[in-house]
Amino acid sequence: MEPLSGPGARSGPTADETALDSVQFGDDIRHLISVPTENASSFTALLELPPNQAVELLHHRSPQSTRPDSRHPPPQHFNAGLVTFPTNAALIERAAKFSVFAAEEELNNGSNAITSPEANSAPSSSSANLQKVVKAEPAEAASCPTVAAKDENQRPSSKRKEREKKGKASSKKSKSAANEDSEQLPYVHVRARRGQATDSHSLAERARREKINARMKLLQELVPGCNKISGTALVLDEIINHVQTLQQQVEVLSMKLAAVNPRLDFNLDNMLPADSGSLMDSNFPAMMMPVMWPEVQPNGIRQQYHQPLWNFDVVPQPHAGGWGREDGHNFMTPENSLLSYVSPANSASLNSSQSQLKMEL
Amino acid sequence: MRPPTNSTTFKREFLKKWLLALQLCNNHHNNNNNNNGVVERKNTIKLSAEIAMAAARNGATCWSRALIAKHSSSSSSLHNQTPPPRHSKKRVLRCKRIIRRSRRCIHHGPAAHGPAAAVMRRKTAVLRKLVPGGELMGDEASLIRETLDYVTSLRAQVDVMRRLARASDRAAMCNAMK
Repeated sequence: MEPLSGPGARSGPTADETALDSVQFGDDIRHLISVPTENASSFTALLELPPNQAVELLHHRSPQSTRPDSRHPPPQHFNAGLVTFPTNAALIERAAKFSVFAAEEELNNGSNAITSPEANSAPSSSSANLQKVVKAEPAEAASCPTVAAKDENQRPSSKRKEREKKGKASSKKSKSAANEDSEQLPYVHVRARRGQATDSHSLAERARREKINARMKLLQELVPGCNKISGTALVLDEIINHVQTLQQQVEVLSMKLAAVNPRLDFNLDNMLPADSGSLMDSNFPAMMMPVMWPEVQPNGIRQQYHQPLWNFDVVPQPHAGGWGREDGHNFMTPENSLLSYVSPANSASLNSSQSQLKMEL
Repeated sequence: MRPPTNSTTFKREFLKKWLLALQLCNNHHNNNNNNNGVVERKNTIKLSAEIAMAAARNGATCWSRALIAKHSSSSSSLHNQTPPPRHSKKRVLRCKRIIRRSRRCIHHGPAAHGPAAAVMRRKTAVLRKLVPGGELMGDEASLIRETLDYVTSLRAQVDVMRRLARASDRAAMCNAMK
């Protein structure tokens, strides 16, 4: 599974590499679909790898560190630095993993100038300089999606590039950023394919492109009918089309719902006898549990909702300022208060769906 | 990092929050103005569905935060009693300005000026307008990532709404026949 392996000039990937690639690719797909929380550059959060572990991995797996000084950043530095450079950890871990394989392969080719990420001199810089590690393996294009492409082109100072070769010695071009933190930052290991420029800009550009292509592939799988189309522009067309279609469907459905319910009260207990299946199936597998709460009379529901809902008018106000950030919590507190009101007020009745919903709430 | 979108849990979350929001809106409107036009109701439904969808993501994605910010800055029905928070809207605008300015200075790759690149840029611009918060994202890669998540969430939302519509249809029919 190496859909993104461009370089045909690479020496044949071994079975190990392929397996590793597929594992990494699956990993990356998962990571791709996710988005970093709050801070878009927090790749530590992105890959859920505690930075210390990543550093350990990194240090552990670099058998041929040619520059011992690069090992010096202890994990403590990492902690301090990770506030500003959260992209380190996972990328370093990846670099470590790949570097091992790359090292093995390169050993066969007789070169030793390899990819141990520590061999990079680049100390970390202040938050202005972000060094990224781009994998040198063919599947690293897949793993690259998680690399923040922010200003890749604008921060060439601490990138380390290697030229891929078949039997040629790899030439490292490492620019060291001047800074005193001397933190271990992830590097972008970019392999220039044979016959291509090793200019930092074009390498970065290529890395970016590969990352984008990886994600486009995911999108292609998601959007129906996109698999056969080749060419980014057409795929983009399809995606745009799909998004527009979905939004139109939302419009139509909401209009339909508005027409059906004149009062906008989706009283599920009315719907239950009419439709036992559609709402209940795959949507709410967990809601089909035995009713533990006393059930509510269909008529009594509305009154009961009115009372606790008075609380809700108060709830949005204190959160109005932080609506964007606390919205998840906003909805939780009304739900909790609703629960507290509903439970003592419930009377036994037949309404499994409604009470199940309230249980969830 | 945001875990991959689990469709079932997302749908459940979305439905919960949506129904809650609808009740809130409903109550609110019953108290304040008479809100019986179909279009208004549809807007309420749609608005609450959008907010619920964004809330079900729990702020893990850029588009969800942007959606919530957009709705909180506009005078939506839920916020009639409080002045809409102005700072979020300003922040969004400032963000956009910064992104625009930075994009001007970005060093484009070697193929940045060909006709193909222009086509790509036009399409990504369209996509940016479609996806909420798309204009705030500086680079294409994260835009595509956001689109991916947005598409899955939209799909789940459409699915839930469709089921609800079907259920209420059948309920209405049943009640009419009784």
